[in-house]
Amino acid sequence: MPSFRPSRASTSFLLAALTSAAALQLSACGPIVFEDKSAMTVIGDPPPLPPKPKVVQEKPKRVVVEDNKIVINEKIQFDFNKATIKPESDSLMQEIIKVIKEHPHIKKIAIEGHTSSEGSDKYNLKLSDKRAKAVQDYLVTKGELPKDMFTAKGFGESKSIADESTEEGKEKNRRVEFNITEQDVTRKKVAVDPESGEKTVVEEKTKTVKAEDAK
Amino acid sequence: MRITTTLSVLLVAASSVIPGCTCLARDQETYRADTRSLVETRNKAIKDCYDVALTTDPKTSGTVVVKFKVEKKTGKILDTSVDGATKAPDALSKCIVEAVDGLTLDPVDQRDGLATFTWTFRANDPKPAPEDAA
Repeated sequence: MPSFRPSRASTSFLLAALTSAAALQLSACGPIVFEDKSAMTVIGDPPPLPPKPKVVQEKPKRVVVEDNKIVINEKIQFDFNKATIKPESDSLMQEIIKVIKEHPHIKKIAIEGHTSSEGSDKYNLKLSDKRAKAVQDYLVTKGELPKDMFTAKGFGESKSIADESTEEGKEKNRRVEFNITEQDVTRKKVAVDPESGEKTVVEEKTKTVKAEDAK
Repeated sequence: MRITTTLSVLLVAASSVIPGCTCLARDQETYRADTRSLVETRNKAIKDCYDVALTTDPKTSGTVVVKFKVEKKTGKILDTSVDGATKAPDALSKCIVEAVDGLTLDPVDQRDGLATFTWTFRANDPKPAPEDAA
């Protein structure tokens, strides 16, 4: 029976092969390091924008108190060639009364009537004067405001404020103005706390100012 | 006799090594691709992380780099951490780590995997409020 006797060379080869195989297996069990080079992109959805605040257009006030006058942003309507206030101006007149009552610092008002240049000077002067007095009468009788609070005078076409060559300009010139001729003005001295920012009135002085004084 | 003994010892030694590696042995690229597929299963959770971050700041964007180990015995993602190269809010990074941590690679590999993955985040323009769009 032939017996297998490995030669010294073949034994060495086998030894080397087994050793390298074992080493390979051992190295294959070490950690493997890898880095993903292409980043994963995430597209997000931010929450929807808050609703836009709804713009509530305030109706422009018809009657506004300024420094030395009460501005009427609507016309007092009179019957044609007369000094009778039309009923459609009643709500405006009521608003004027309300505003005057809401501003007790207003002591005296000069009501001025004005016309366009249409018609004679004399006629216009007379009509504007009658209209100014009609307004005063309305404020006193229907608004129960003191009569001595008002003076009423017509100026005809002498104090135009717009170009008389256009219809628009003429319409602007037909108007009633309310000029404050006397009012109480209060001056306050205020101290501000530097820490809290709280304001305290330390002195308050009220004095009556006439239109002539203010000039 | 001596040679025979030596060969026997080597065979025993080799056979003791081989059975420990009967599991899958991925090459580096396959390991990366398989792990990426695994983490991509959490895409929805990761997008949720980002959308939450956007509720805090609608302009949030950036990059999150996460490192972790894929354990050879279990395939589990372990030791997940945020890499220093991250440029994103902490809360977002933490959320990504939590989303990825604990995932399991199947089949497991015979070697641990030390992985680095990157996510970039960018936001769409915010939509107008429903009542404004209507």
